[in-house]
Amino acid sequence: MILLYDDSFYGLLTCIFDHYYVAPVKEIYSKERFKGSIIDTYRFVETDEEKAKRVEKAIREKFSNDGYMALYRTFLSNDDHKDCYILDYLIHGFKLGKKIDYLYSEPCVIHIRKLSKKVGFESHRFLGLLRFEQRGPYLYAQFQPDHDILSLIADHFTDRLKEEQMIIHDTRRNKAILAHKGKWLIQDIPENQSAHMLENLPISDEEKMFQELWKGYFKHIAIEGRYNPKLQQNFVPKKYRKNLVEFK
Amino acid sequence: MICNKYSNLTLAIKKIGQQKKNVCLQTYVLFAIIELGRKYGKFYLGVMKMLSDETMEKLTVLADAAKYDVSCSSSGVGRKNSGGIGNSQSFGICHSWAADGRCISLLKILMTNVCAYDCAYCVNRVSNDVKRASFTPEEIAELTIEFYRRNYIEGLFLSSAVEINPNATMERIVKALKILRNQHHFGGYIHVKAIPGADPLLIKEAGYLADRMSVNIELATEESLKLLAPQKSIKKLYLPMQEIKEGISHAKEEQGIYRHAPSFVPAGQSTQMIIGATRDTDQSILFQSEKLYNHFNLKRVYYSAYMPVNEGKLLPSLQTEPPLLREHRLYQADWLLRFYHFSAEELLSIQQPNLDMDVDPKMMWALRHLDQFPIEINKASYKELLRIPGIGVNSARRIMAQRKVQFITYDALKKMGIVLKRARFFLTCQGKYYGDSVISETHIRQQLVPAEAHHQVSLFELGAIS
Repeated sequence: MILLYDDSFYGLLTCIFDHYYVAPVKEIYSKERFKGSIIDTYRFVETDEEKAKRVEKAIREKFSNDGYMALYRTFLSNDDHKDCYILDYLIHGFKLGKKIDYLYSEPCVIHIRKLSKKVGFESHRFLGLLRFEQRGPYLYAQFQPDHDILSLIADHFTDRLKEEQMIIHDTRRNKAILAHKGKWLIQDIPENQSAHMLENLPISDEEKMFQELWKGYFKHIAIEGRYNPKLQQNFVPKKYRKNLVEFK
Repeated sequence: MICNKYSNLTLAIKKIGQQKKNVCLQTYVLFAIIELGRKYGKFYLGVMKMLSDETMEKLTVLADAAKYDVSCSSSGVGRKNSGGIGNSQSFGICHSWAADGRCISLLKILMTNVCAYDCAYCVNRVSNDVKRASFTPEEIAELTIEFYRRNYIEGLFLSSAVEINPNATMERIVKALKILRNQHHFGGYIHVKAIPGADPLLIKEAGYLADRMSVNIELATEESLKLLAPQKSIKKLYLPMQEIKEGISHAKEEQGIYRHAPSFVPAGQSTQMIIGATRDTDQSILFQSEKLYNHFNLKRVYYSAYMPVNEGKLLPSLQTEPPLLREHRLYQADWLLRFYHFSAEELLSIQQPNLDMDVDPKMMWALRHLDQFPIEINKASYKELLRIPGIGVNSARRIMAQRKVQFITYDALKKMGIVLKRARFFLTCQGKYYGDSVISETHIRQQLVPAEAHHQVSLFELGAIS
């Protein structure tokens, strides 16, 4: 049996619940990424918050909060088989308990570690690489992360720039964090509306001045005698440069 | 009208939060955002602040003057926003990387580059004909805040040349910090230089405002200092270090008694040494570092390959390449001191005063102590594991953890992500050795060092030729 869910983490956890209390599951996929199967039957699972919370509690108790977060980060990755890896890990994990995290050479552990590390690394990277511009009364940032990391970076920026009205826009997934005074939420922004929104929020001269100042600073802080563009590219791959003022 | 209903994002967020499923409302909010933007946009366009056109010139001159300070860390302090702007993450955040590949995390800048001193190696020395500029404390604060808001930087690294005397310089630095911390309630990271010779009270004041302080030793020995920076002496440099150290331990005691006692330089102090401006050996540099770590509880010693910026009889010639590899090896050795339980004595001696440029310092040590290898992965203690070339803190921890539940095979080592390129010559797995043949220095070197070994010409060899 293959289970499909609505692409929310709680939806995935509901599937895990069904695996134990309804019938064993072979694979789990998000509804959108599932391409169909000839051999196996499949069924869509309605997200049930209560069931999901029971699974969440079990994970937190059986493993640890860190273990739960590792699974959540894995869920946010763009890997096609992430749901199956999570299922596999939990099946092993509920048998072995905390011990599983010491088994560094176990395939199911390796997958989870690898993916959660990737996602964690990208979200950490964007804590530094995100760039805001003053647009009207808002601080607006645009980026296109590989993984769906909005929910991981929201707390950091909301706390840091508490007094600001902030929009952090993931243009790859067409959604954004709206934040002000320590509160935030993630909101879908359809593509046609986002263009309309940006047109109406122009960049001021003051903003341009600070961008120029930053570019000037960026150029002069490098030591000519140690010029090393290869090393620079290791740290700032070209895919990130699109949104960085200093590389434009 | 919608925009009246949602006079700012907070209200909008609240409204959407309450009625999560109301898609219609969500699109309204988008329009509200735009309407609001229009309304306030004009207002924002009108506000020009005190920074002017000449700011650009000052900024670039003072960044040029500050760039030879290598410290860039923004780690070591975790702090939440306290009602103003900014917080701090204990793991530190890099925001960009300059064309030389070094990370930019702080706005690294001098208050002024007008200097009374004449240190031979320094680009800002009084006898040099360079552009001079100064920022006011207010300008520094505004630049920091505006850069910080746009997430360009993690905080400020403020240093200064000594314009009139140490006290006047330190006073201006403290003033800038006060504006940031007390007026803007800035919670980001601040690294500040303690100017040697400044009043202890001023240094104390700065310490309560900053996260990290540093005093640059620059040269490892008293003789070198006498030669290149005759106005400085090691003793005078130790003085502010001692003051900072005492301040830190005093504040820690206080915090033990009163929970809300203010913290003093919570991210610790650091220093920097120039590599290759004088004949100092790696031994004297590393011994100096160890001494600084032990005596003053320094968090970091930075090494900076000497960039020939000035001409002088006592200095290497202007054509000299900066000894980048030597700098790298010193950093590696420094790591061995701090995280691998090595002592400087084990690595270098009078007979062997310099690090091996072909292999890393741990490999150098291991090749001299082949009698202690191979080490059995399944039995060795944590400290012994750390002595194996190629195995770092992470790998050693993983091995220790997995060993609790399972024997480790050679295959498992690979799967755990442990790099065996160097390590395989120095370990056994369940009794089996994987390093091809018998352990011997020539064999290992042949395997690891490419045939055309890298040779870095020393500055003084070059001097002899020209």
